[in-house]
Amino acid sequence: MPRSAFLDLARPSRRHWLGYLLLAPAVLLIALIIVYPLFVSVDLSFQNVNIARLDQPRRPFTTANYERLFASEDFWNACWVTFKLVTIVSFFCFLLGLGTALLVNNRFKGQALARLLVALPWAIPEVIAVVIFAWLFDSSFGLMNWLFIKVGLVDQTINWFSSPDAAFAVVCTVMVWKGYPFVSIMMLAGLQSIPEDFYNAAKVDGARAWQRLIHITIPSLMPVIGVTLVLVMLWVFRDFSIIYVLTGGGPLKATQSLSIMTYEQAFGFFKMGYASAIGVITLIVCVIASRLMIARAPDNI
Amino acid sequence: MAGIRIDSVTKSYGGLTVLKAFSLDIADGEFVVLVGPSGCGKSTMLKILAGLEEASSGTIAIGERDVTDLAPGDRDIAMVFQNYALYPHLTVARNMGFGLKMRGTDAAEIDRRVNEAAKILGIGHLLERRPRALSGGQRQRVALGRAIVREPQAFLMDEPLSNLDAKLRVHTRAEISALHKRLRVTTIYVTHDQTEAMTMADRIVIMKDGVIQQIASPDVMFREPANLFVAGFIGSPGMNFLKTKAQAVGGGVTAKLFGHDVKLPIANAAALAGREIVVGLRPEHIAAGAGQVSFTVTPRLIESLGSEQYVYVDLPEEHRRDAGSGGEDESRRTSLIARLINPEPRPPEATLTLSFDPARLHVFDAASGEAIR
Amino acid sequence: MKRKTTRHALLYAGVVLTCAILVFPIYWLVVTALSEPSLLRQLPPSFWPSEPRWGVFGQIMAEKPILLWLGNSALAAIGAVSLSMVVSVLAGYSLSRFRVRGGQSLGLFILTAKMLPATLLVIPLFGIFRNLELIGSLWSIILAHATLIIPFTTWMLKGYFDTIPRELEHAAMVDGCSPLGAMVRVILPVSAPGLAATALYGFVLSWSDYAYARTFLTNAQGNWTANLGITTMKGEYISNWSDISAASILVALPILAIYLVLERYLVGGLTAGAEK
Repeated sequence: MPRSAFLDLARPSRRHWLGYLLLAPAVLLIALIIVYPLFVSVDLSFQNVNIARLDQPRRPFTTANYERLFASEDFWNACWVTFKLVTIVSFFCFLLGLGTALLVNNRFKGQALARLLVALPWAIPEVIAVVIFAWLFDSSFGLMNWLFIKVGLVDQTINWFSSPDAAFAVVCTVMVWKGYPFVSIMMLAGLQSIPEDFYNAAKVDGARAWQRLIHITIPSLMPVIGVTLVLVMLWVFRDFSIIYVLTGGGPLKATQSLSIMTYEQAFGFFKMGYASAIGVITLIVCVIASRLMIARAPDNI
Repeated sequence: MAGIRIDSVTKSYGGLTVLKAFSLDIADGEFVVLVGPSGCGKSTMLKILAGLEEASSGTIAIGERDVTDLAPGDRDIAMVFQNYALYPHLTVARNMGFGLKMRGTDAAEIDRRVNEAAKILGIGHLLERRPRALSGGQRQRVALGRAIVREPQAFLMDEPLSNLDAKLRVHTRAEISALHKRLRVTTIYVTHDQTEAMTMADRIVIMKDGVIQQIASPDVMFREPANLFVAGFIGSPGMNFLKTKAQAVGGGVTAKLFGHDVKLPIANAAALAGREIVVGLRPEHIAAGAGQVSFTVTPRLIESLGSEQYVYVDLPEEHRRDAGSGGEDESRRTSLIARLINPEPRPPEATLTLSFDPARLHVFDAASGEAIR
Repeated sequence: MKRKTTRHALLYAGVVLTCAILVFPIYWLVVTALSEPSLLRQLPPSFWPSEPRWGVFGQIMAEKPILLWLGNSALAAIGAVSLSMVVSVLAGYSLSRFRVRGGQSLGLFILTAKMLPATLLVIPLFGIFRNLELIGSLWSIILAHATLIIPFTTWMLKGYFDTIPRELEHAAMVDGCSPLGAMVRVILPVSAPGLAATALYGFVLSWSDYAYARTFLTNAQGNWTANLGITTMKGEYISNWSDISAASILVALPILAIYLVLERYLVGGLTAGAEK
């Protein structure tokens, strides 16, 4: 079958063209729906715009959004809330994720089922998780209030969503429940890549179970732990659905993270220029964090 | 079937040249083995020949056709890979018939040829299985079968035996040789194993660092290695090398070996006198007991294989070559191995008299490593 | 011997207890859905309704446009996954097999794109889609979800293609395939499990989205996705947890089903997508 020599990508000298050809659709699409919007976003953050209108001429350049932002108490409050959330949720996600992973990594009958169950919350959409916990923490008939009174932790029902601290605690609970399965899955993958011989050698050397955990398991998991930690922190940092549907950022902005504040400013108050400025700040944090992760990734590209 | 002409093919990645001016004429029906240590460029050459990689410069012709920039599928060649590369989603029969199908051969003809090839290789009963249900040896046969059914101008084989266990490797080696005798298809076979090269090849091309070291038949390669590298690579265990100095004596040249002045088997003696040389002596050319040149040693280690014995001896300091001169490992530089056939049992650590025939010595220039004859 | 038995019993107790606590919220969702609304206002609560009202699912489907919402979610997910898979398969294959100038930077960018907050992109996308008059249409969601999915699927697929020996394409090309033919006839069929797992993962990402749907579809009731529908139910029926729970189960079911299928691949897929 004669082929045109020029277009014949099977020829050794033409084959690398195919590499570019295959990348082209992705590059084009990514440029259109990710790169271009990112530019628009940065551009908006330097304009005094309320509703983003691309068909209108560009407003004059201004740094007013950023000046207002850094002077705003709400912004620093949102930073503090976000920081607390990231720290607390990541910590408990790790505790629970690593714990469950170590637990179901033991060999026992029904291990497959246990592994399935332990990571099950992964399969619950965030919005549904919120529905579940909103009902569990319902102030009048929620199971948690009943349980807390029954156990004697409190003597009257708590109105979970009108107390700043309580609402924050509920947000953390939902996020931990939704987030730990990812840690668990990653840790299990990590655990399974530790050669059995390490443990056998340690056993021969007389290491106890907890010594094996400290001296073999944790160090071997370190690379996976690093990557997972960054991913979990970024997830908490970015998360919108859980907080927005559960509390909307309230009460008294006690759960208003940077993501929520961005969204509120953009679509609640229609201050998209200002919102973009917050978004750009979050973008910078995300980029730095992901670069850190890439640098630490076990087998880099 | 056709001959292959490779003319000064070069391959470089950026600044790194992995193949330097490779030229080779292969006769129709010839079995040529490219051999060398890993990274010597032999696999790259094979991929360029197959059209899987682009040559940086040079030309390749199969038959009378210039195929330098032709697609692999248009070159009329078949290839056998180290990991067999069988299509996991296709049955054995479809694996073997895939190439014919791609060329639009009709189904009945494909069936006929697949069955014929399967009969030759004794895999008729496997035709409906998937590759993952086969043993390593069976997969290897299917890979050969896939090459055979195409009835190509040439077979290219890239270390096809290295994934087999030792016993099966020897067996399959003989089978490939037999297959070649039967089909007489030009074959280019790449391996790092000098035994495979010696047993299968009509001609061996030995390579190092992207450069051809010698092209010769196995016998010539063994008897007249072109340089130190070839001499050390071919043969098992490899040749022993002793550093020494050539001295002119009368019409000939001698060198001091183990305290004796030994006459070297060299025609052009005059130019050599006073130069640093390396003398090579194959382990199997050393005999136990006194002979023409005898020396007494205390073996460091004796390995007995029943029918033969390997005697390891520390080389005297004056015969050791400089570190890093040959690129082989340290122990070969500092020791001498004697391979004794049908040996008597002997206690280790007793002294032992060994001897050799000076006519068997190989002489190399110490600086360039080239053979001197 | 005795110590071993004790340890085993402890292990089992630990596993059962942990699973029970962690899965309890899901169990409670089911109990709530199956209980009469009046029953839910009784204390102490009952941990399994005496008369489970299995008809609740049919009833809720009749009362609320749940099927429409599920259909919209499915359309959006299928659209976004199809679009993403086409470009990701090609790009992932290219990144895995070809040394393309700028390929490494592109890979890094895609990796970073995985970490982008939706709340950042949603603003410019809102402006762009308004300009294109896509607000309220499922197309806005399909394109927005593609921004979520493409970075994930491209990396997962690149990782999967990396595990397939190059010799397979080489064999196919020697057998007469063009490079594209080798990919279509050999590599893609061989990658079927990886393609399926990746597509399902993309489906999960799209199905779980709330931010984009909330922003682009709120004023277009006919195009509401399941998650958006559920949250509006939560807003209006503050007391009818039973119905919301029933609807929530219907929304979670596809993802749960995918999870059961995918669980084995998930470990490999998530880690490949994450580490690289």
